[in-house]
Amino acid sequence: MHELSIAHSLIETVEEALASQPDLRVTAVNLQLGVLSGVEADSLLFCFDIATADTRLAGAKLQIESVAARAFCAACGHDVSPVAPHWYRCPECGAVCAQLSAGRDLQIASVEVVENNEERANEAPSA
Amino acid sequence: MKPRLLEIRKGVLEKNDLLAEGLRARFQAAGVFTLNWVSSPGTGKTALLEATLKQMREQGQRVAALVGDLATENDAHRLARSGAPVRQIVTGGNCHLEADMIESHLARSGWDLNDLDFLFIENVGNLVCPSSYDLGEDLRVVLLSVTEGEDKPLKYPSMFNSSDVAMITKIDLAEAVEFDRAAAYANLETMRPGLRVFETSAKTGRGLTEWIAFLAEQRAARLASRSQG
Repeated sequence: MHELSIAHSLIETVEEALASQPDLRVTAVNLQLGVLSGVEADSLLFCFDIATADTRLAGAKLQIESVAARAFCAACGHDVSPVAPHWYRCPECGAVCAQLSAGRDLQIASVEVVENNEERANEAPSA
Repeated sequence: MKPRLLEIRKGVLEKNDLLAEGLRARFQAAGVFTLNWVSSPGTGKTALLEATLKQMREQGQRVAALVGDLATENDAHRLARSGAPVRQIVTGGNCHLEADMIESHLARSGWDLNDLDFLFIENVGNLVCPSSYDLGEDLRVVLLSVTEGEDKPLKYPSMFNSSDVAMITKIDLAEAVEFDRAAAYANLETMRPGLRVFETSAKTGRGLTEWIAFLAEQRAARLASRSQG
């Protein structure tokens, strides 16, 4: 179970990306997670909620987009999506594909943010 | 008020990957060939590493080892019997090694990389988590013991298909546990076509000569490519 470490790295990466904008609060993180990343989505969701407490990502939603394995098959010249357990085999012609171009992804695509001040201003009238 | 979308496009483990690239560059500059050993607990990583270190030292190779565990320094004590410099990394609950642990332990070890030919990193016994973390190694070696079941590669795809070499350990027990060699090889080949496989026994020494010769070849090839580049 290294999803807690991953969650901490994820928060650190977002904090660094937003370092120059201290007034932003994060409401959602859009993550691309490859099927071969070795990271379990459910565990990561669980750890994310715990790890984000007391940060500016507190309460944010982690939105995970699963990324399929992709490879270029040199034998048949197609871009293909190999499937389990034959991750290095072309599903169309059966040849060995030397390299995967996607599937190990563990990347933050974007975050959704609000201004802290604006939020307070918006909340004030209804309070 | 609607949230706005900010593009980030950054790998979650980018920091680890950058540190690992830095380590890899340092290892290559110093001519140190580095291996990251991964397996489930109880595969015999430490026993095989101890035997490997001992034999390589006898052949005049300059070897050292970093060994990761959640707790205890037992493995470092075992490996030190080989006479090689060894340093324990106690992860304190972390289920894998990360590049910054390698960097900080190397800094504190007092080892001069220029005095080493090979650095062995024994990862925490775990077939899942270490697969995500590059440690700057030249080779990732996954170990599978004959007592574990031939379908391990299918159950842990991320680890097996990110490895460069597979080692079948405890081969001296193969017959007793009715190890199905053909099935094991087929599963390894499925996970990583063309994967180089060695069969070894730390107890009898079987396969060690071939394995150590392979390491020497790999290092020589790496040095040759460095001098060309």
